[in-house]
Amino acid sequence: MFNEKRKKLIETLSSEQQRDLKKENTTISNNGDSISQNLSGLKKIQDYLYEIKKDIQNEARQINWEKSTSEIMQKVKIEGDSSQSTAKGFLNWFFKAPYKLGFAVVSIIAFGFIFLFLIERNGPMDEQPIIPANSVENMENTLSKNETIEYLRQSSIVLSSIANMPTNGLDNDLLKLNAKHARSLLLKKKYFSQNLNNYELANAQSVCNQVEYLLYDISQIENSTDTDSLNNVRNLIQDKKIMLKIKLVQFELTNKEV
Amino acid sequence: MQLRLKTTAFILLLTLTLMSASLSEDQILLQKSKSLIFDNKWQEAVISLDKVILKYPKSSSFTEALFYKGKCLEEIGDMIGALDLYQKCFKTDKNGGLKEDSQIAIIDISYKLYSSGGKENLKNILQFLNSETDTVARYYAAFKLSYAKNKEIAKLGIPVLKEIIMEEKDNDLKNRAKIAILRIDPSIMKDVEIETKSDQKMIRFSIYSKERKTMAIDMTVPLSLADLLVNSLDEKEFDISDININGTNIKKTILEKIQEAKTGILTFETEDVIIIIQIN
Repeated sequence: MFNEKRKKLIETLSSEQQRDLKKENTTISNNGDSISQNLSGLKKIQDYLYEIKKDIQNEARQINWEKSTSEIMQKVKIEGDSSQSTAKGFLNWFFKAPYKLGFAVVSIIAFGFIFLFLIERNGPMDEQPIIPANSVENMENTLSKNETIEYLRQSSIVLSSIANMPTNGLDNDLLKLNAKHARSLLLKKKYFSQNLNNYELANAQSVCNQVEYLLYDISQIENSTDTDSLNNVRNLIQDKKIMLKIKLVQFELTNKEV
Repeated sequence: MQLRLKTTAFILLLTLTLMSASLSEDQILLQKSKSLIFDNKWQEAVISLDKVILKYPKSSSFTEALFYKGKCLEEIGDMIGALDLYQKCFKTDKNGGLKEDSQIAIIDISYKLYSSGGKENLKNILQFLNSETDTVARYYAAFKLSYAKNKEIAKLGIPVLKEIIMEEKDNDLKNRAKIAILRIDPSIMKDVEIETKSDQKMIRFSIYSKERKTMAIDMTVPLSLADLLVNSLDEKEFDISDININGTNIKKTILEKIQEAKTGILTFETEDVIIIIQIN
């Protein structure tokens, strides 16, 4: 049944080829060749086609289709077995070699940890601040250092203003302004004074405290009649060489090399 | 020349004599005490100040003498005696120039006594923390409490620290308040930034050491404290002030980027370190 169908298919194909050749011949006729020449040519082609047809039929007869089918099926089965054996081999390796499995599991976990570490390291930024306590302390010390430098700078202006005031005809407004500045500086010192024990600010501590005492006095002087207190402050600034001490500490704090 | 020197010396002597003549005895004693304090002669200053306190309780020098004696006792180490004097000074000088200084001194000494076991002194600090009229004392009490080892006590100052961040114009004071909050509990900083309507940008500052193969520094702080953090690295943790790449100073570049405050990531790589700055 199968062979018959194949023969019919070959016959059909042959007839289709004949039809195509006839069509080709018609095209040739239209080009103006003689009919007799066309007929003899046609006959030759027909004979040639019969020969081809016979050859095909002979070849088809020689094929043992049952055997070929079985051979093809055999080949398909062999290829299937081959792929199956590869999978089976892998499973054997996987289950029959526990030490290898252990190695694989450990490797996976290790890679997982490394991956998580890298994600953690380069991952998205936390919204909450993360800062160790000693870094908070360092930041506070830096802020205190900046404030100490600024305190000494502003204090030297106030002290210089007091020291250079004319003895006669004291300006009440200027005295009040200095008293106000002195109070503001006294308050600022309260915040950084606890960091003056820090080794870097230790040298500044003594001068800052001396300046503080002068500022206490200046903050109390708001009236030009209080010349005694004013003179006392002036004498202390001069006698204790406060301005020089301020300059030296300022230089020390602003120049790391010193 | 000699005549000129003699004249100058005479004028100076005359001025000092006139000054002394114009000063009352309590004032002379007070000025003498201040000079002794200036020279760190605490015991001698106490003797001189005691004369003012005992002989002239109604003079204008009395309150000042109490205050300066308190300072001397503090230096000597008599904290309880100093606290007593500052409290007397605060009571007698309610509206005077030494009022704030006395309040702050009371808070300072009370905290020292509290942290060394005198728990009863906490009430002195809380009294100022809850004061509605004395702003300076309220602020100072909150700052002082932020150092308390007992975090529940330290947290009592948080509302006032928030008030400082919101109300104060002085940036140093604001930064101090933020540092105080970081000291108490960094995890509440973000909520504080939201609540106080501050700039909520954060900066992550990381330095990876190639030699040690570890993160030498990895910190996240509010952007407003970033320049302080970068400057504080010079002091202790990791000095970046001298690192240059292609002639550009890294620290300067980082500080410029912080000023710009643009979100993004900035990286620098040298032979020794990789620096990553992330603003979010």
